[in-house]
Amino acid sequence: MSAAAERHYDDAASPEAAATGTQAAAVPGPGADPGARPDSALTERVLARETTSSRASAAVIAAVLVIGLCVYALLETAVRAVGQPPWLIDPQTAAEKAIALPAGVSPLLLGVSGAVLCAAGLFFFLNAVLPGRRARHVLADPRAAVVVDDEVIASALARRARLAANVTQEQVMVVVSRRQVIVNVRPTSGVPLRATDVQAAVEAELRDMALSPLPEVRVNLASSGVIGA
Amino acid sequence: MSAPAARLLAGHNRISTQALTSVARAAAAEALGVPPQDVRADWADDDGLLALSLVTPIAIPSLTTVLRDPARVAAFGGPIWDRAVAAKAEILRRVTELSGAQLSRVDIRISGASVRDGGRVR
Repeated sequence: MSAAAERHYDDAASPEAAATGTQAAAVPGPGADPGARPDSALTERVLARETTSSRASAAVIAAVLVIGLCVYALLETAVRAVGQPPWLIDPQTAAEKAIALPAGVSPLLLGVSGAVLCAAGLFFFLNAVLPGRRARHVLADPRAAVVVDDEVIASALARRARLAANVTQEQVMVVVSRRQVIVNVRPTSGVPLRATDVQAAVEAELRDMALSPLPEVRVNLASSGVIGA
Repeated sequence: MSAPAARLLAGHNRISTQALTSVARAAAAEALGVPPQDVRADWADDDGLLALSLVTPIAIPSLTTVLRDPARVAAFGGPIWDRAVAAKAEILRRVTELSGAQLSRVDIRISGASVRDGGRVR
C-alpha cells in the first residue's frame, strides 16, 4: 500500500488553532437528520470525548495537592488548639515569616521555588482554559460516530495529490491541521504542474470525506524540481 | 468518484535520470556526428524545467582534406561554433520530442575533435 509511505505531519491540538474554534464535535451530515436519531446526544458526547483530550489526570493532581495542603493546615491548627508543640511550623510563625519574606531565605532558593510554582500554575491554568483538541476530525455519518486521525487524512490526501500531480511519493508532503490542509508538491523537472489541478483534486477528495470542520486547502509548488523522478 | 478520477488511479510513470541521459547522449551524438559513448551529459534543474549540459567532442574533416577541398567544411555544416549553436536547438527539439520533458536550455562544451573524413569511398 503506497499511501502508508507518504510523508505526513499533523500538529497536535495547537492553542492558536483551538482558540478560533467554536465548533462542537458532532455535526450531522447533509443527509442526516439529528432529530431522527434517538442516540444523537450520546453520539455527540462520544465524539466530543474522542476529539478532545481528557483533563482527568490534571484534575486529580490538583485535587490531591489541595487536599494535602488542607490536611496539613488542619493538623497544624489542631496541634496548636490543644496546646501541643507544632509538628513542622506553627501557623502564627509561618504567617509572620511569609510577611517578612524577602528576608531570611536565599534569593536563589526564592527564585527557583517561585519559578516552579509559576510553571505548575501555568500548567493547571492552560489545562483548564485551552480546549485540548486532539489532531482528529469527525466524519459525518448517519449511522455511526466516526473519528479519523489527521495523519490518516493526510495520507489519503497525499496519495490523491500525488496521482493528480503525477509525481512520486517523496515529492508530496501534506500537513493537516484543524482548519487547514497544506499540500507541498515538488514537481518533476521538465514537467510543469498547475497548482489548481492539485488543489481541485485534493478539494474533491476532502469533499468526498465530508469532514467536519472542513479544512481549506492550500497548495505550495516548489520552484525547483526533482530530476528524473 | 467520477470516471476521470478513476482513470487517474491507473498508475504513475517516471523517466529515470539514466534514461534521460541516454537519450541526451544519443541526440547529441546524432547532432554532432560522434559516437554516443564519447558524450557526457548532465542534468540540472532550471526553475522546474530541465537544463542539459553536454561535454562532447565534435566530428571535423581532416585538415589535409580541407586543404585539398575547402568545400568540405561547408559539407560538414560550417564552422564548429555554428554547428554547436545549431546542434543546441536540434538536441533540445529531439530530447523534448523523445522524452516528453520540457528542456529550458542546452549547454554544449566542445571537449575535443574527432577527425572523420565522412563517407570515404575509394
